Amino acid sequence: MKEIYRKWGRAIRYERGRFVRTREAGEAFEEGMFFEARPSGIEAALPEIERGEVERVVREIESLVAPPLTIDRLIVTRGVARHECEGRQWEEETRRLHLAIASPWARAVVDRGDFDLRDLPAIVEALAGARSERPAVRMRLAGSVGAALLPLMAGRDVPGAVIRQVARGVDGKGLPVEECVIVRPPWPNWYRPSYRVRPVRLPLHLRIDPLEGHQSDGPVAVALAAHPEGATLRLLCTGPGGPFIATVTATRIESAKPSARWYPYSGGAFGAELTVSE
Amino acid sequence: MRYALAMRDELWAGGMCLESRFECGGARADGDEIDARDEIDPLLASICEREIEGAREAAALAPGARVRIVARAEREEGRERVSSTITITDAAGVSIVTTRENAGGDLQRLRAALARPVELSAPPKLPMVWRNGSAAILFHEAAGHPAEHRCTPLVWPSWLRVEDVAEEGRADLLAGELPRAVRRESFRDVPMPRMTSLVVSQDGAPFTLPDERVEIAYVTDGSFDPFRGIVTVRVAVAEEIAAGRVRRIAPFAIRIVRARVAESLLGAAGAPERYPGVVCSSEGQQLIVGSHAPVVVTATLT
Repeated sequence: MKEIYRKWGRAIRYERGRFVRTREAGEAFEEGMFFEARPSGIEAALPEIERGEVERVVREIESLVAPPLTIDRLIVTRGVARHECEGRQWEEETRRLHLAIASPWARAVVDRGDFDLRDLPAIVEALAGARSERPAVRMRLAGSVGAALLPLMAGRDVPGAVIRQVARGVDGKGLPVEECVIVRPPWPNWYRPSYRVRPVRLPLHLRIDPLEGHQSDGPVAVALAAHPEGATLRLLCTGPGGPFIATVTATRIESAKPSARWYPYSGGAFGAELTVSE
Repeated sequence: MRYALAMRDELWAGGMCLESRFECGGARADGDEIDARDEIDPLLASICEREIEGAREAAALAPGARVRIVARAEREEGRERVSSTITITDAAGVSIVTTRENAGGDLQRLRAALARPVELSAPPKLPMVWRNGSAAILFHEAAGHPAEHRCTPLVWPSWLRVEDVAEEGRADLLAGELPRAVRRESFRDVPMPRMTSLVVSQDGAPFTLPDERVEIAYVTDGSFDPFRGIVTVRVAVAEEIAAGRVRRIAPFAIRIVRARVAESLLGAAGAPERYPGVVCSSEGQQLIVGSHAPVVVTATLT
C-alpha cells in the first residue's frame, strides 16, 4: 500500500548574518521498501511569519556575547507547518535555537526548543571564566544538559533509571504519541524531520522518572562544551574555584529530577537535572 | 541575486532503487534576507533528469553495494552548471565518490584493494606513504578547513602547494586564503566560501621510499576541530610493507594536532592523482569536493 504524506511549511531562519525565509510544499510516498519525495506544487494558506521575533532573539544573544567570547554558530528558526498523512491532518508551530559560543579556551553549545534565554547569561559568564580542565568522575548536570543525555540513554540498560516517552501531540505520520516506558526497539512512533527524509521509528519526547539517590553537591555542568560522543560528555562546569571544563562518561545515573521544559535533542527530551558518574 | 536548483538524489542497493528525492526551487537574495521556495523550473528539472539517467548506469556496476547518485542542475546569475556524483559503499563499509566516467575503474581498484584479508589489528609505528591521492584528505582537514575557519597559517615545506581550484579562482590554502567559490547544498541554504577542488602539488620535493612503511590507499572520512586544532582522518584501507611482506591493516584513526601534520612531512613524488572522494560536510551542508594529491610521505601519525 502506498502511504502519502504532504507538508506545507513557512519559516524564518537566521543563519550566518542572513534571514532565510522559506516556503515549502512537498509530498512523500512510501510503498514497501521504496521512498520518494518531491515538491507537490499544491498551495496551502499559511500565515506569514514576520522576522521580528527571530531578530529580537538574535540581537539579545549578540548583546550577551562580548569579547573575548565570539558567536561561533547561531541558528534561530521560527516556523509553521501543516501536515497530512493518510487522511490525518495536523499543524505545528516550532521555535529552535542552536548556539555555539567560543572563548579562546573553550566552547559552549546550546540547543533550545523555545526562545527563553534566561539561563544564557550564566552560561556566558561560566564560559568567559573557564580556562582549565579538571578531572571528574561524577557530575551534576543542569536540566538542559541532562536532556541531551536522555536520547543517548534510551534503550540502554542504565540501572535505576526509568526513561519514558511522554504523550504529546502526534508523530511524523500523524499518529498519537502515547506514554510508554522506553526499554528496547521497535519504538512505537515515527520521527520525520522533513518531507524529504524517510520517517524512522524513534523514541519521542523523553522524560526520566524522578530518582532519589546520591545527589552531588559539587560542581554543576551548565552547558555542553561539545556535542556528545556516545555517553561521553564534554562539559562547561561551575563550582568552587571557578568555572572549568570536564569530560565525563556517563555510565550511571545516581539521581534524577525531571522538568517541564522541552529540548530538541533527537526526537525530543524534557529537562533532567541528573547526577551522573562513570 | 537569483539562484535556482533542480536536484535528484537516489539511493540504490541490491540493484533496486530504495529512495528517490527530487528538489526544485529557487532563492532570491535581497539585503540580509534570502527568500527560498519550492518551485519547479522546467528547464533545470529536465536537465537534471537527463543527467541522472546516465549516472544510473553506474548503479548497475555494483549490484551488491549501496550506491547513492546525485544529479544537480543549477543556475546562478544566468550561468548554468550540471553535475552528477556517485557514491559507492562496499559491503565492508568503504566508500568512493566518483563520476559516470570513472565509476568502473574506481570500483575495480577499490575491490582489488579490499581483496587482501586484514592481518594486522593496528598500524605499526612506521613512516606513512599516502598513495592513490589519499593525501588530499589529510590536507583537506589540515589546510582546507583551517583556511575556511580563518585559522593562523602554519609553516609548511617550501616544496608543497595546496590550493583550492574553482571557476572563481585559485586560493592558496597553506597561506590561509579563503576558497574563492561561494557554494550551497540546496536553495534553502546560506551560501558560504567552501572548497571546490583541492589540489596538492609538489615542486622539487625530496623523496625516498622507506623500505618499511605503512601505505595508505583509502580513507573513510576526516574532520577538523577548529577549536582544538585537531585533525582526524579515519583510514579504511592500508598495508604494512616490511621485511618483504605485505600485510593489510585493520581500519584505524589518526588524531593529531594540525601542526604535527606540517612537522611530519618527509617528501612527495609525482603529479597529483585524483582521489575518489570527498563528500564534505560543514555547517550542515554536504558538498562534493574534488581531491588530488601526489604520493606523499609522512612520519608515523599514529
